[in-house]
Amino acid sequence: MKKTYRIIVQTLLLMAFLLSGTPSQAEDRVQLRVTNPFENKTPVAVPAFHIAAASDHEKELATQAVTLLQETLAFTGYFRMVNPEAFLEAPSQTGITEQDIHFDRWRSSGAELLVTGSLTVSGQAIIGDFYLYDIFRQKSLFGVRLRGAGSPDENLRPLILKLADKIMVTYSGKHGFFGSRIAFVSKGSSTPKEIWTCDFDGYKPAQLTRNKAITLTPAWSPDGSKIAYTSYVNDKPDIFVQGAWPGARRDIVTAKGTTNITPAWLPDGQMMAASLTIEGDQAIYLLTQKGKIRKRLTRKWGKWGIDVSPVFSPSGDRMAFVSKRSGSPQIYIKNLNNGRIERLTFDGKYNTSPAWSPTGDQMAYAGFKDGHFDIHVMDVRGGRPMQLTLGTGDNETPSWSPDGSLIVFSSTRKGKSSIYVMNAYGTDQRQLVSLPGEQTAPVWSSNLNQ
Amino acid sequence: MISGGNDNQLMSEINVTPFVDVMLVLLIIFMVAAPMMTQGVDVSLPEAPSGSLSRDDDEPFYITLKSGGEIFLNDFPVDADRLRPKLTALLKERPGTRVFLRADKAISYGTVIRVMAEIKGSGVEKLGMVTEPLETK
Repeated sequence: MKKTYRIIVQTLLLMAFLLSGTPSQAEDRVQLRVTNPFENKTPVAVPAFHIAAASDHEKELATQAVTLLQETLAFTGYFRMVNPEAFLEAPSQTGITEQDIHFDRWRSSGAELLVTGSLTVSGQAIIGDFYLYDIFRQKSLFGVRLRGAGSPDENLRPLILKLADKIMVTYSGKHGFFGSRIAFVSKGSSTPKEIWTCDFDGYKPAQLTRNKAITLTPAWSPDGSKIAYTSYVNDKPDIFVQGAWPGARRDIVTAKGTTNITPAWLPDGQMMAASLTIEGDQAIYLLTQKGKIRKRLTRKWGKWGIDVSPVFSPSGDRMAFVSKRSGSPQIYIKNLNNGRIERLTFDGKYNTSPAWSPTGDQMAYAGFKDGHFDIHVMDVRGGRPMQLTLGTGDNETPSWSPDGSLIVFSSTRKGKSSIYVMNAYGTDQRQLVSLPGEQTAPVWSSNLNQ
Repeated sequence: MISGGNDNQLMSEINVTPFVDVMLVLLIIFMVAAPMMTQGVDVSLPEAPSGSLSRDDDEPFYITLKSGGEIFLNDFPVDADRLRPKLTALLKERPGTRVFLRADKAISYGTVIRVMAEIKGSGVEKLGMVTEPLETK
């Protein structure tokens, strides 16, 4: 009797022990979800900007301003626009200053922030008075007067982008990316690949290089004034530097070596790094903009030690690059202070195009898995990569926005390759430019005019 | 009895009491440790001073039908044919908000039903009718 009782107790304890282990393991997987700040977007209402005694053209300007501000705020991923149908007040009757704002009406409409303002066009200048209100706290967050000298049509966009940046700074404490531009490679049906640039939101794409030869891998100088790239102008790949405006002069950086590719800038904007073959093997060198070699950064690694695609951490103390030293292309990080090299990626057999986040702690890259390239992000100290794209063709060459909130990349999800943008957690993926031909290798500049 | 009180014979079964004790201690250790073993990806999120505020969901929409036939959504006048899209858009912004209908008693029953159909058609789940308490002498 006593014996059976003991056996029952033993079995029960063992079962309890086993059961206590399993459910918590199952829970672990569920809890791997990352909290995404872009999931709960802040609803913003932008009813209308008033424009006094206006002509039809000026009224049209005010409407354009509202649309542009709505699109720009929505583009950041932090905000969503309250549907004008849900307004409980005629936009033309919305007050501008605090005492005229019916906070209760906007709260009923579900808005958390409200932007009001007025535009004044006088001759060759445009002046905007804008206000941002916190609907729940029923108070003004800022009132600002912005000026744009010159033709109102041309200055409306910079004026509204300044306003958007002011809203971003108030909202998140950080500057946005509204002064930044994106460079990319575009190939027409009969023309070779050339470098194009457009605004951060894909506005006004324009061809930059007219090399009439394959031109690849653009890299912005840290201040955004110049672009370095690889081009086959001299029938072999060489590095060039060119001002970031159409018609700027092109200067050759490297002449020696047969394969000189993938230029990158150091954060100081003076020195560059590139993958050169001046000593026979493909290795990364530190060089001046005039092409003077300062230092070899990766040492010879047998027959297969191909090192390409250097990219520097924001502080410039570390360099990430792609190397085939272990047999397959993988991303490595070299500490430039002590010269130590560590392998970063171990997941998958083909990981390329590293992009160091402006915050310095994340690395985005394109990894080959299950027959496709997809964008991954991982901690620069190592760990598990987070896959951001899935099942949408090949997604390659990621590049971060200057505030680190968005990632631009190329994708073949609609057949031909084009430029897409998503936020740093992989949501809100959308096409940035729609141009004929194929677009690849987008790179995001810093904020140019701030 | 041959074996009675014989101490020289070997005990044939294991003493489980210390085993049970050890298992109990282990069980408690694992029960305490299990919630601590949960993993998560460490991310630094941007700070937003005016981020998510708790929304006062107890702020219903009032639809008022005046004796003259005018329709008001809160204090905003709406045409009868604009009521449904407006309410649909509002409920998309604030899902699950209650709607109260306040109809003047002079309004015909048919008009009230028509407006109610519009409200129901916009996907309102909670519709309430507002009445005055009956005056007793």
